Order: sequence, then structure tokens, then C-alpha cells
Amino acid sequence: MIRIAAQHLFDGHGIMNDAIITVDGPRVVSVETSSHPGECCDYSAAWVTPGLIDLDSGIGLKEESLGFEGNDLNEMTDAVTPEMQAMDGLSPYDTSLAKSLMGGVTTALVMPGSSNVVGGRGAVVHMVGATANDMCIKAPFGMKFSLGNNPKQTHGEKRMPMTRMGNAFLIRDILTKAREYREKKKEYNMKYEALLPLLAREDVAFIQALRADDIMTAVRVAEEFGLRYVITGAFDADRVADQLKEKDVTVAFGPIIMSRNIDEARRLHPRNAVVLLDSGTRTAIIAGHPNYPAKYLRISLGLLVGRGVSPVQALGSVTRVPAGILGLDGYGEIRPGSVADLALFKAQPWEPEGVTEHTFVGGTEVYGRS
Amino acid sequence: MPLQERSRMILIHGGTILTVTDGVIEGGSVLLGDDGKIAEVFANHTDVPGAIVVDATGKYVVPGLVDAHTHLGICDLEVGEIGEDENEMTNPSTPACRSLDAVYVWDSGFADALAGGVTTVFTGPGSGNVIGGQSITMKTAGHCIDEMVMQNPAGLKTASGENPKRVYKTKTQLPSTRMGTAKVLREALSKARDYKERRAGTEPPVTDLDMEVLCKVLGREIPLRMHSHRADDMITMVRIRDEFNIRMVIEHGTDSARVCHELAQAGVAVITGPLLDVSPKVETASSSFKTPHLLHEAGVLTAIMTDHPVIPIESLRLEAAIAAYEGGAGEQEALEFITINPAKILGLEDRIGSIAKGKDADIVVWSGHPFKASSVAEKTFVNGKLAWEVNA
Repeated sequence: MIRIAAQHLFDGHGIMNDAIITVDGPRVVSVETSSHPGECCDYSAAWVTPGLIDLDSGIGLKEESLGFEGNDLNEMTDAVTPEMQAMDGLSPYDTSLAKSLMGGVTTALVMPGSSNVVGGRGAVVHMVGATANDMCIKAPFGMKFSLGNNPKQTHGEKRMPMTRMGNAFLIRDILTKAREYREKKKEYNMKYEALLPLLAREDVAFIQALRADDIMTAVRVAEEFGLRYVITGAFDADRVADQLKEKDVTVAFGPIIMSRNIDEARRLHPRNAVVLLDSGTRTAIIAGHPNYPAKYLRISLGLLVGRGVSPVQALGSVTRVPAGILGLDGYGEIRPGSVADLALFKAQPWEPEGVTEHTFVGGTEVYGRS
Repeated sequence: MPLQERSRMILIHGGTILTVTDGVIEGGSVLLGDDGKIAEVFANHTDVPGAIVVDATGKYVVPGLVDAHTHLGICDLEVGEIGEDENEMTNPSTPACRSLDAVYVWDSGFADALAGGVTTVFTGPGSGNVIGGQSITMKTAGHCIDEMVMQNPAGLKTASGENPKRVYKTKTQLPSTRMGTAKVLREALSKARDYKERRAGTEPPVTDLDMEVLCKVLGREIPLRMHSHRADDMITMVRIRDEFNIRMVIEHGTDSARVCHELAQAGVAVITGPLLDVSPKVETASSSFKTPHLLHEAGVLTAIMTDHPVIPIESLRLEAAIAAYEGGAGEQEALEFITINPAKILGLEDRIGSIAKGKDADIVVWSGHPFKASSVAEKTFVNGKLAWEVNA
């Protein structure tokens, strides 16, 4: 049994003062308020939150500090590769994994990159484990799609797509063929097989779209096939916030801090995320690692809080909301029975001052600041 | 907008003044003169007849930040390849190339700088060449480069390590090794030494623009600004510095903590960063927010850079903030990394980097402490004029 005292506890839903969290094995068993927090506790912290969750991450697939040797993000030999699985490229030795724990980030949806129109299937993992299997919470999960410049630039000189029309066509084409394959299966086809859970609405499409027109193309194509889907990146989402709200679209926005040295990131600004959050659209905030280090996901939230987003909403966007998108029961919140993935901070987690002091995964301390 | 009138003095009163070099003043006032300089710093609320008053009660008044290593305006944010003028990679040695001729002052990065409280930048060529070209120091407000520039040239960009050898290896051209890189630099400086001697003689040589720039380096008028990540590269470059008795500043210095005492001994300043990124290559593997503090402790004059556009320029304060709380530097030292220290490295400590009478009136009014991510720069003054206002 571990007892943790929190001056401020964000439990995934709201902020409670002077709380004591009791952990037994891998789970939280109780959350109580106490007039004497800190007494008889093993740990105490100014702030405690659920372990943070990053969606559409390249962590472990594109290893820090390495070039070609550590880059397994995009199988760029073909623009349509739904049969790829992130689990098969995931390195548990990426130094960014341990650094993420140092920022209170415990979980990621690792997905192939955005060079292919259809990239492959993702894996929901903990940031710690001796092998990819140890890290894995569930896989394969999620199908990565990508619109806009990246697939055009990667493939256009050799093969389709060369245009945004080509991007959309390739998605429609493979989904149409997979649907027919499902109905009158002939010869085994690995690409179509990989798409069957998505067509059956058992899996979720994660469609990277940065520009507003690409976001709406993603919505159009996903609706045509009745997919469950999430828009990722979504830098220009403020331009189509009304449409996204009306259609009840889910968005994984970010990273909020990134070089704007590509045309599609030109309008990237924290206020775009604020517009989206204010509109009531279900929104997760992401680091987009390695475009921005997952370790500092928490600090990108400060830019939102400074523009009027409540701490509860900001913290929820990196805990409860992404856990819900991933369908992970017991993650992203702290309550009796939840998984004991916890982050302890020295001050407000969205401020640089709120340095991470301890991180727990499944009730085990995986990081302690010396 | 009365604040933009050139001829009126502006009095910023109330708030917490972080002077950087003379402590923290609670509830004082700063008077920006009509000549673009700080006319006076008062320890308390003072009325100045005729001055426009800016109420900063409850806010932070901070000197304009200084980013001593960027590619602002040279690597434009908006237009992709056609706006990239960082590296003239047709020859590994191009000292005569000038940033002044490549800066696009309407690039949105300048507005981002002002919105992030950055009022002075050093901007220069990239690290594709061993000798990339001349950098400049400039203010971030204005419409004409010739009015914004403070130093031209401010330094000669040079590079060691992975970048130049990678660029020229693909062209099967020298340099393809670290030895080759050192050779290119040593040969250029040796030729310049010869040129300089002949220039002073009875039969001066035909003017060579590359050599003219290198003569400024040999004459210690400008430093080499040496891109260097690995500790062995830094030591190599300091060796070459001493062979030619020239000045040098180390840029990036990712692995510099390993040789911090040697660098302190050599009197080399280091501009660390970019730090708020995922280490992209082998030679940046030891990147750490602790490095600036370790260098400072060893006695090295240290600054922090964004390397904009690598890290967006408005995040300079966030890098310093993380160095303060996570890297062990503390608030005062970390603030110095982005104000007075880069000013000293640039040789501009008499004009910028702190709030003091007679210095350039580059002042930022923040909603809260600039190291809080939730704070925003509400008003940025450059040379005594309002250059940026939030939501304006």
C-alpha cells in the first residue's frame, strides 16, 4: 500500500484540495480528503494528476538522437500501407521514453507517421517496459491516415498521390475495395484485412489533417464510410470550429509549440486550440512527439490557461479526454479502481515551475526526481 | 494610438520591475525618453508631467529579451523552400555572403518575436558550410532592415561536426570528415593572413571580398560564431582560434558541460540550445536543460538560444524557465541567459539586456512573471515606441 498526499488533486474531472490517494498494487483503492494531508503518507506533492496521455505519437518509432538507424516511422515504399503495425517498429530503448516519464507522461498512442495516406495501425503503450510487449496496453489499435502536403511530397514524384485529390482518392479506393472484400472474400489480402475492424466500427481512424480544407476532407471521407474517427494535428481547426461542433467530431490538437517553418503550420497558434475548446468540441491536446517533446506536454497547456482555458479543461485534455478516445477504462482519472498511473508535481503542472517529482505506472514508481 | 507617437515620453509605472542588473523593484516606474532611451528608473511611483502613462500595476516589467542565435527572416516561415536563404551550399567556404542581404523583415517571425518579448536577435546563415557567412544583430521592430540593424557584420558563421561534412559528402567534395572541416577553416584563415600582409604592402592584391571579411576576423573586429555540438569539436575549434589569435563564440554547445572547465579557461562564451526539442541527431544526444547552469557554474559566459525557426522564437522565455526550475539555474541566472549575457556576448551590454538609465528603451510589460507559461507579453516597446500590443 502506498499513500500519497496531494495539496491539489486533479482526478480527471475536477480539482480537490488536501486529498490522500491510497494505492494497492496496480490500482487506486481510495481517494479521501484529509485535514492533515501529509501525515503518515509515503509521498506528498503540491499537485497530483493522472499520468498524462499523448495521442498520435512517434515515440519509440523514431528514436531520439538517431538518424536512419532509429527511424521506423514511415514505410514510404508505398502510399497505402494499412498492414503496418507500430508494435513491430517500437523500440523500448528510445531515450525519449524515460524523458516522457520525467514529464509525467505515462501513456501514448504510438502511430506510424504522416508520409503515407494510409500509414498503418497504432499501439497504446505505457512509456516503460523491457520489451514492446511489456509496454503494450492494447494493439493493434487505431488506423493512421494522413492528408495534405506530407503524402504528396513523399510520393508525388514516383506515384500517386501528387495532389490532395489523389490523397482522398487513395483512401476512398482502399476502403471501397476492403468493403467489397468483406462481402465476397476471395484470396487473402493483408491490406484489406487490416481495414476490416475499422469498417466494422471496432477500430478508430486517426486522420492527420492540418489545414482547414484537409480537415473537412477527412470529415467527408470518414462520413461516407461511416467510420469512427479522430482528426489529429488540426492546426486550422478554429476556421471550421462550428462545423466540427455540429458534426460532433473529436479532435486531437497539437503540438501547440512547433516550428512553423512548413506552410501547413503557418497559422498554428495556441488561440486556435482555445477556440476549439471553447466551442465544446471534444478535444485532446497532444505533443505530436517528436515534433515537440512529450516530456513538456504539460507546459504547452500553460499557453492555453493564459488565454482563458480553465485548469480543469486543460488538464482534462491530456488525461480524461484522450483516455476516452482510446476507450481505456480506468485511465486518465483517479478514483477507486482506476489504474495507478500518477504524476506528482512541485507546482501547477501547466507552469514550468511545476517540475515533475514522481511518476507512477501501474502503482510502481518509474521516476523520482533526485 | 498615443503610445506610438514618437515625440512623447512614456512612463510605465507600478508592477514588478526585473531590472536584471540592479535587482527587482516593486512598484517602481520606468520613464522611456523621446530619444528611444531609458530616461530614468524610479524606485517608486513618480509623476512625470507630459508623459503618457502606462499602468503596469500587478504586472511584470522586463527588459526586451535577446536571442543571440537565430535564423529569423533568413529562413522565412511562410513560403517554404523559396524563402530559405540560410545556406549557400555551392561552396564550403562563403565568408562574403551577408545575412543583411537575405533578411525578409515582413516575415511573421518578427511579430512572433515581439509577441514573445524578444526585441533583439542575432540572425545569420546556417551550418551547411564550414564558413557560412556574415551574421547581423538587429532589433525585431521595423520595416527596413537598414534601420533595424545594430551590428553588420556581427560575426562570421562557421560550423563544425556533422552538418558540413554531411552536406559535402553527398557532393563527393571536401570536407567529408572532421579533418576536412578543420582544413577548410585553417586554409581560409591562412590565406587571409597572407592577403592581409600583402594588402599592407607596396603591391596590394586585387580585392577579394571573402578575404576582406576574414581580415576582420584576424583583426579581432568580429568573432567566429562556431556551430559546435560535440565536445571534441569545441576543443578543435578553440585550438584553431588560438593558432590565429582570433575571437570565437561557441554556438549550441550541446556537449559543452563535459569540457566546461576547459572552455572557462579558454574564455569562450557558449550560446546553448535549442533545448525545447527532441534531440534530432547523434551529436545532440546529450542535450539537457542543465547544461546552461553547469557552464555558468564553471565560469563560462552563457546564453540560451531558440535557433529559430527550430524552436519558435516566442518560446525563448520557456526555454529559460525550464533551465531555471528543472536545470538548476534559478530565476535570476536563467533570466540573465536571455538578457544581459547574450548582450555581453554581442558586445552590446551598454545598450540592451537590462533596465537601466541610458540604455535602449526596449521594455516588455508581461501579465505575470515571464517564466510562467500562462503569462503573455501585453506590450512590447522597442526604442521607446510601442511595437506590439496583445489583441491590438
